[in-house]
Amino acid sequence: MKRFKKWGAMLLTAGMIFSLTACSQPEKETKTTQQAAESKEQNGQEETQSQAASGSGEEAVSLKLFYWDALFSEEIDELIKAYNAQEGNANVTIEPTQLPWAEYWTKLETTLATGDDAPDIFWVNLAHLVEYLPAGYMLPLEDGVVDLDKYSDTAMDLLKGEDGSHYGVPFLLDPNVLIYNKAMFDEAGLSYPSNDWTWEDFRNAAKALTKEDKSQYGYCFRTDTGQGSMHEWLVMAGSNEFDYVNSVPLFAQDDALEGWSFVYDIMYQDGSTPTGAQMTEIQGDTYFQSGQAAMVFGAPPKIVTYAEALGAEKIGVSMLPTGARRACSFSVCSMAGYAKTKYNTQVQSFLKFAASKEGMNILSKAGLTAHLDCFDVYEQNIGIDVGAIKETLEQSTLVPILYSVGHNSEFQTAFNSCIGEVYLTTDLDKDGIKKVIQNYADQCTALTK
Amino acid sequence: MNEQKRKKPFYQTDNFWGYLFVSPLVVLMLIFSVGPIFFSFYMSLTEWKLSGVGHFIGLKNFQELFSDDTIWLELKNSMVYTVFKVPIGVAISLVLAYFLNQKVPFKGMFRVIYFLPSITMTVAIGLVWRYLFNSQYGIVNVILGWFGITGPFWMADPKYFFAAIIVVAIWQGIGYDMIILLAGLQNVPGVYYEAARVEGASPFQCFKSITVPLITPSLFFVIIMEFMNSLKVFDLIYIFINASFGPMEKAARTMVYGVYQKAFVYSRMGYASAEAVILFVIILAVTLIQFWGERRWVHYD
Repeated sequence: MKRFKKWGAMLLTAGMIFSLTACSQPEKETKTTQQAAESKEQNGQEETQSQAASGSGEEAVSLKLFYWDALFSEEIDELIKAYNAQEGNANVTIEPTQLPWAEYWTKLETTLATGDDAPDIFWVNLAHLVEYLPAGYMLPLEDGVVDLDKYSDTAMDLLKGEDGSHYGVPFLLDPNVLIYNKAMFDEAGLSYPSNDWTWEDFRNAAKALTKEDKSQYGYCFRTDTGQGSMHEWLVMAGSNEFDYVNSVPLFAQDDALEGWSFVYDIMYQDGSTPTGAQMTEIQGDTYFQSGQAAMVFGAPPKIVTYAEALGAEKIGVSMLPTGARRACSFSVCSMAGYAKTKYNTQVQSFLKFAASKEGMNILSKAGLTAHLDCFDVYEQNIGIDVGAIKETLEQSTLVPILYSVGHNSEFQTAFNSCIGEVYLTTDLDKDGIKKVIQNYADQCTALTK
Repeated sequence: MNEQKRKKPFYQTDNFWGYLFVSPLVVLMLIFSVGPIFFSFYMSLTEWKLSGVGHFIGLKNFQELFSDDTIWLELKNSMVYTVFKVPIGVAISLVLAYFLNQKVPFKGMFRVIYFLPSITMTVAIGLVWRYLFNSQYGIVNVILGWFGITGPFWMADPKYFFAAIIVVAIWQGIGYDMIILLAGLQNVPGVYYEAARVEGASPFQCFKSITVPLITPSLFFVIIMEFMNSLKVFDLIYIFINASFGPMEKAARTMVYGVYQKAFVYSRMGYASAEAVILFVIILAVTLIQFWGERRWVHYD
């Protein structure tokens, strides 16, 4: 009975508190309607003000720009400054907001979907582009915003909508290349990798560069699923991880198997790359970055990281070796406008400036941009000959990276497990590898049903 | 007089003030704990993406969950983790608490040392232990090497991976349990020991027949909390798995890891909620069983 009373009293309290909150609700509402009315009034004033201003040809406009990479903060500020310095743009204020990667997509997606607080201009990568474009979040660029002759066709095609117009200015281009440690090649008396290397050339060099006591490996195979990992070998072998558009696993096909087993042999026959077990202890490209491996695959931003770690004079860049085809994966980051922006003209004008050589030269200080004339700025800035990147863009089949769409996060998990199982097992032959990868591919297929 | 007292309005009674003062906590609990629990019951019956609104699909999530092998794997791993972590962890804590309650030199310092892991960030613990477990440079294998044992690839062999995590979890947890048990020990009156000594009891007999029975309330609390926390383990598992891949994930994924993956990697909130509901039921059942057993072995006086 006592207990019952106690609980009864507690429920009562809770009820009371709820009623309190319920009481306060209408008050809040009236307040907000009041506020709304006030702000409407203010808006009205603003409208008349801005009308007056536009009458005099000086409409003050404020645009929001969202981006994620803090490395670009200075360059973005500089870009905005340069834009404002141009004639007729002084009245356009652009407020850049840098958000950390993890938060970026959640925040961007919610604001784009609801329109509240949405940016007028934002960065978008390939994986999200394929979602945002059909969702109608992106503003079609007017003709002449991007000078198509100056940009890689592959990049521009990816930004093309069904209506034929382009939906973004590609500014970061990340084709994967072979990055090597010159000092190790010099020490071994080998000539540097050349663009016409085949897989066999690569394998032989890796073997020659591996020291017997394993204090130095010829190659650092990345067992993660980032750029420059297994994905690259599948692409070179003429296959891919998945057909992302139709959600079909491709990594167990026959041509893909060549990629799997070639790396397997480098690892367990030649011992010229750390084993899977070693790679679970020391992640990714650490072996290369700490000067314990001579070659690694990676995208341009990595070149800068390695140059900082090892010294720019030691870093060389070459095209990926050719397997069944001359190919590499790549990703594109682009700057896009919001479809529902109130300031179409200003957004188009800012994007046009960003896409010009002048704009891209500014951004090129922080990373490799897609504008084909801006390579030298990037090259000068990092002090490394990156001609191989340009050649890759011209000569290679570029396979876009499109993770995390639809089923793909589950695909990625399965693919990641597959890499683990193959390269942690030490006694597989080609048939054994085939069995493992087929098993995971079947799991992926089952997911789609 | 009596009648007057009864007529006194509720808001003038002491109880009213008591309820008023606890109400902020109760309200916050309702909003941030109880509310979400009930909401996740509802969500488990819907198909719900990370954004947008879900639609009702009945028990389909549960159907899919039970036909998926991973849930059984997660359940098994969670159980294995609990079965090893709780008894070993509590036993070590009890022994440590017992010794630190004796007159040993540097008692205060030892208490601090044992407690430190409990207040260290789990992320830091995970990262540092990964290095300690490194097959070539890690101190674990170096020490094993002194005894002529070639240590395994702790972090790359599914056989050892989960065991290594459990060892770290035990190490991390003993400090907290120890402090609680120590508090319990300090409430045991010294006269019992004196009497026992006069009767000629050995230290072990004292421990077994006086100490343990008298701290059963603390022990009960520690075991209940340990059970719940072990079944809910996530942070340590996540840190270890996240830096690893493939077979290691399978070897160590627990139920909350599964919930996390379904919700925040696969963006399937409804499906994840279904697993969370199952976990809730399991923890509830285990706790109820323990409370039922409480009468049999816990002495409050």
